[in-house]
Amino acid sequence: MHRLKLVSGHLSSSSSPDRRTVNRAACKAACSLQDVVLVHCRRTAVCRAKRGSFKDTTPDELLSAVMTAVLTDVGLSPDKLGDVCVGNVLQPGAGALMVRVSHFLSGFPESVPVYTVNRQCSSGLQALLNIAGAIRSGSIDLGLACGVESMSLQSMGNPGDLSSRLMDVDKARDCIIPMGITSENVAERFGISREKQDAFALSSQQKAARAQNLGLFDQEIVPVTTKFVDNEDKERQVTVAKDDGIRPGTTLAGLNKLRPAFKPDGSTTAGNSSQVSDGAAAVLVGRRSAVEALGLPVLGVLRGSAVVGVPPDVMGIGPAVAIPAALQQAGLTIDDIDVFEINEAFASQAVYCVEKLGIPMEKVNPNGGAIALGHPLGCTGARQVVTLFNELRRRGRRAYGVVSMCIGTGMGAAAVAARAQNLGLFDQEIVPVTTKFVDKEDKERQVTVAKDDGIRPGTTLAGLNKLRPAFKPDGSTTAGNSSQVSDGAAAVLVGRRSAVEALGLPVLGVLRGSAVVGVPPDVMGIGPAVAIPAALQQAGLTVDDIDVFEINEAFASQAVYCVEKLGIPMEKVNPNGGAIALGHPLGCTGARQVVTLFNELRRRGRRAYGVVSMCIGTGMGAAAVFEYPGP
Amino acid sequence: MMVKVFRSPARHGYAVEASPFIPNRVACTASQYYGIAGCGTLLILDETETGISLVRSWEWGDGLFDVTWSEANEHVLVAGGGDGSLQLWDTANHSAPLRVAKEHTQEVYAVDWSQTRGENLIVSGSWDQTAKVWDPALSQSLITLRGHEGVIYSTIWSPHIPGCFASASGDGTLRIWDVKSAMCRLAIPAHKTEILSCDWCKYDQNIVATGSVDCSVCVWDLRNVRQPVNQLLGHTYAIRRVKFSPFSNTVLASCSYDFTVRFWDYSRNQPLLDTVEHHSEFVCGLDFSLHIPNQVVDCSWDEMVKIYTPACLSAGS
Repeated sequence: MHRLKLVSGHLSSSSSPDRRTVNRAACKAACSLQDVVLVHCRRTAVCRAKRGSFKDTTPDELLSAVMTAVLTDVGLSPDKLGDVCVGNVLQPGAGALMVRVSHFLSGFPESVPVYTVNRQCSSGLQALLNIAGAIRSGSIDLGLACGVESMSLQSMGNPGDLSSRLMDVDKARDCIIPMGITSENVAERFGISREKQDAFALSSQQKAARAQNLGLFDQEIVPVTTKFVDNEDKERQVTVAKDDGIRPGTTLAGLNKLRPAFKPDGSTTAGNSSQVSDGAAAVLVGRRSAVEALGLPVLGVLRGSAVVGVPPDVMGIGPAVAIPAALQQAGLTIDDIDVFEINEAFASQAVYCVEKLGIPMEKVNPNGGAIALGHPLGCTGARQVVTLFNELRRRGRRAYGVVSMCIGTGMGAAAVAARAQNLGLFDQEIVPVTTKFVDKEDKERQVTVAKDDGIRPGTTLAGLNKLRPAFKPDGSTTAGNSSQVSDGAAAVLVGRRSAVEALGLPVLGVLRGSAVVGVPPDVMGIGPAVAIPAALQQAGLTVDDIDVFEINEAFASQAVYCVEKLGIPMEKVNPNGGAIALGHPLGCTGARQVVTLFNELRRRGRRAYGVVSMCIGTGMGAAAVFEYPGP
Repeated sequence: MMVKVFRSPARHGYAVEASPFIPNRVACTASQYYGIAGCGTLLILDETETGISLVRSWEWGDGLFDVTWSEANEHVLVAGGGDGSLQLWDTANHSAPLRVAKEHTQEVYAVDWSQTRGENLIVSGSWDQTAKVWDPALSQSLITLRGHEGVIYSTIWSPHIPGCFASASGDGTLRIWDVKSAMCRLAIPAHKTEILSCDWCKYDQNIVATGSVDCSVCVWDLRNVRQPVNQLLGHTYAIRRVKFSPFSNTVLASCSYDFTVRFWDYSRNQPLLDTVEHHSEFVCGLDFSLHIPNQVVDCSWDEMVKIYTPACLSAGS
């Protein structure tokens, strides 16, 4: 592309007097292989302690659900994990025994280690920072960071064994101030009114209710099947996939009526504080080079983090100090951040931090926070990461997010992460087209289209099974297992090697063989089964030599037949989907397959062979064999 | 240093120009997908007490790479686009351009409205290696000037000499053109690499600055072009735009692919006055306010337009 080439020219021919600075800028712009990246993350529903759906569920079960789901989703074997770190606060010894039990319940091998971390409300985030630290130090390549808490089965309260001298040292004494009183301290000292706190609480409830209604949490929540003892003391099996603390009916009047919970003339109430809850969350983290080598996706990049100390009697101000420190490390400012997940321990401290930092309110907890969802102590940090990345993913572009929380006894933690710039394998091959689009209201708009719109990520086997045969009553071909009717275009620049090289053009691939054959018209779909061997023979290659087959999915029936007939391993066939998902714009398809094939071969980064083939109506088949010579 | 910021999400800044009529107004062109593909946007922004507010914006079907305000009408401006077009826009009321002139066969990378008295012309420079001069209605080009052997990145009218403009090109030359005789008066092999920008000194009709891929800014006296008056070194990547200050005769600014904006006084032995590093991507657009001494506006591929007064210039005033 001409523009890209010219702009690249401005950069490459720089005869810079100071290469050091250039490298710094180049490093900043490029994605480093040493980056700590997030691969995938999930959470359980967050449920009310002692009354909610998880009141009879042990934390090892909650943890096992998310650990298993994260690895299953990305198809990673647990023996690839270098370490597992779990944030937990209330279990004895932060649940060191519980997590190892959970580990085996999840079917993880004994060879993988696990440990817990307790930095109170930030434990779930601390687990992530610990794993990130181990990756940066080179100890591990890949780790799982989790958080879990059952506040139904363990309660806060036992302070442990403390010296009586703690009363002699002000700050030490302040550490045993109840959390609710620290909230009152923040409200009084920094003038955060009851009205502001209630308004913030209402907005948290409304945002969470909206998110739940729109199904925004559906993707992030792992359904957990567990036992539940009901009011009549009967044990039932339930599947929990919904946060149960959200109160969509919350009103400002209702919140205003609540009595102060911690001191008679206070402003902190049960309605503007976080809820006591159960839940678990897990985040798969790795070094970019290792993640890419394993073929795992990159969801986001950790850009900076900080844990800071603040006075224990106003511990809630922690994020106001931790967020600027983490942003500075990341080289970003508040304005650069798209979404802030700031834990709502209390509305008082959350409002204080947001106002102090001048964060626009619409960027804060867009899907509600702990006031509506609940605050399972050890889980929260990891839960916030999950919610953040699902929100950033929905925004569909490179974006920055911050996760932060205050920590009892006077600390604050924050992490800055960027959603990966290029998640889409198709992004490089698709030319954005700016065109007009007449919408439902008959209004013509200008749109830029850069995404295939036929792909249905929500497809399930059950859904496909339900579809009626499309062509005859007792048939098996449905709209779901046939190619889609679509629009599109593709182009491939081809030349004689000598001419291409004379013009200084790059060589992307070489055509090694091709064939078009005839087959019976009434079973035209078998075309590739005849055409592929003919083309391979011309190229002097066998099925085993080929790395990727792009076989057009006119119908699943004929594609499956051809693949089985030729004995092609299924993982080599249409690794990025075919016409059933992407669509089959008839005249375009062959060229589109070539484009998709070469982008896939290029990503594999080594010399490889690929085949493009399709069946042809009226009874023919075509195939071509290509070589990708390597980078 | 107080910095006011405006963000244009998913639009990457290419050019900014301060209004010659309205003290707090600037125009900015920004493009989708870093200007490599997709749409362009023309933004009219007003500096307010607290920040920068959007007055109006228009979408264009291809990237927009440069913009210039009319010197005759406070509402009118011209932008140049990736589709080879110049568009005449009116901030007063229209949703579409008043006029689109498509004569260039490749990207238009530079547009400039003449400032000399008694003249009201627009010059455009394109990757098709030609510069064209237009009447203020863009009805059709008055003249096409050929000579550059590479793409043209920058075309700027002399603020002193009627009918005279300078152009900077990928062929490594700075050229000075006379529109009346339709001739290139001077061709200066100013750099050994591509020249991406040039500008005239506002106080001396013989002084022109060039910014190049070789990371240097050179200041030229057109009466003796065998060597530059000064060579300003410091940028670590190609220089994208140079602008002379309208308020001090030897001060100029440059912005670069190295993410920085630098301020220079070319009369000094140590010419670098200040380096401003407040962008996280290539900085492409730069201008001085004509009304507020030493105020600067810049824009970058990081989606940010920033208005500020650099410390090095505010100190003396």
